[in-house]
Formats: sequence, structure tokens, C-alpha cells
Amino acid sequence: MGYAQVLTALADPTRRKILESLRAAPRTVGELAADQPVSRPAVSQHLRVLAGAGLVRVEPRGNRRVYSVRRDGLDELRRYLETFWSDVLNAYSAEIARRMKNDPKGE
Amino acid sequence: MLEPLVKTIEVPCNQKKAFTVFMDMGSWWPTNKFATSVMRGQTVKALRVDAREGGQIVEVGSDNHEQVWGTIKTYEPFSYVNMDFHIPHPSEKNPGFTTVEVRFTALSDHRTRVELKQSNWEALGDVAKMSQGGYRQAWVAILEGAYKAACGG
Repeated sequence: MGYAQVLTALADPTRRKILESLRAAPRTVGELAADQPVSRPAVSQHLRVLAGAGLVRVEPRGNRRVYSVRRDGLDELRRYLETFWSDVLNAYSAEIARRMKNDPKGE
Repeated sequence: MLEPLVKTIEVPCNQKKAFTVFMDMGSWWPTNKFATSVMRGQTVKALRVDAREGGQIVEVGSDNHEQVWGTIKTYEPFSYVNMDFHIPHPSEKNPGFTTVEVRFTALSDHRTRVELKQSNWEALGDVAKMSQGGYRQAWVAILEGAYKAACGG
């Protein structure tokens, strides 16, 4: 599981809607399909992608399978992006330090 | 869906200097790691920033290929800049852009807080492209860099 899979999963508007819907409350495929203008098999397919990216989890409840949001999935993506900007801003900060050393008044 | 990402740092200079150096991106951006050219197996010759409203950020590769990284939407020296931003993978034909906002706040005559906020991830649309390279490439570079450093070069 990686951030790329997370981004891919979120790139689809229907999957984003499904995820939004699951954020409100755990639901079954049938309940999700009732909310969305897509077929039940299509919802199942989207759920597989979301689960593959680590964004949702499924739990059996009696004879039903209930889907819910897995927050850790988004954390992985966030960690990657945080690192990207940390690296970039560190380079910026190093340039400031270099210039201030050459010109301590900094004008 | 994806909340904005916020990064804050403090730099040891006045606000004007912090802003000016930031906009002089070509002098400090780690182009050896984060650039479209790197993903094409080239190096970066220059990173051109037209620091004004409507101005573009353009990467120039060693083969003179030009790649737009974004456009400055709001330019308020020396406190705020808002731009469309995305370093696209070479395979992206019509890349979408996220929004990057940078705010500069003077803490003293020689200390400035710089807050960077990236949002509008949805604009990237089919981000599957990113998985082919793009940010993934950058991620690999970070890992390798960090790994090498941790292992003493």
C-alpha cells in the first residue's frame, strides 16, 4: 500500500463520494448503492479499489459485510507530502542562511 | 476530501528578504530532486520565475525543454503569494494544478515565519499519472538521500 494508490483511489469522483458517505457512518454495499447513481457491482468494484489503497476496511456483521473508513490510509499520503515540502523548505532555509552569512545585514 | 497541507518554518532574516529569496526559486529549489527533467533523465538548466501576478514558474531542462510548474495568481510583496502549482510527470499532457499559498510574517527584524499551504488536490484529476513518476520519483529521491545520509554517504 502506498500513497500513489491512495491518490489513484481518490482521483475518481464516485469513489470520493463513497468515501464521504462512509465518513458519516459505516455502510453495506446495498446502502451505498442506494445513495449513488451507480450499480451495486460498480460500488463493489470501487470499494475494492478503496480497500486496496487502505482507505476502507470491511467487517462481517452477521451475514452482512459493513464498510467503514480507515483513517491511516490518508495518513500515508500526508506523510509523503509533508516530507516533500520539508525537503523543499529546508533547501529554501539553507539558501537564506547562506545569503545571511555572506551579507549579515540581509538587505 | 484531502485537507490542505500546511508547513511552517522560521527563517533568520527580515520579511522582505524572506519573500525575495523565496521568489528567487531558481537559487534554492532542489532541482536535482524535484523537477520534470529529473523524471526524463535530464538535469535542470534553469528555473525561471516571473515574479508578478500572472507570471509563470518555468523549468528549463538541459535539453532546453520548457515545463510550466504554475502561474502566480496573487502577488503581494512582501507578505503573500498564491500560485497554481504542480510539477508534472512527463507523461501528463494537460496537468492540473494544486494551489500553493505562501504567507510571510515578520517576527522581528531578523526573523520571519513562512507558512506554506497546499490545497485543491482534486485538480490533479487522474492522479494515477503521479503513481507512474512525478511525486513518486521525488519520494524515491528523498528516501535515497535520507538513506545515504543515514548510512554516512
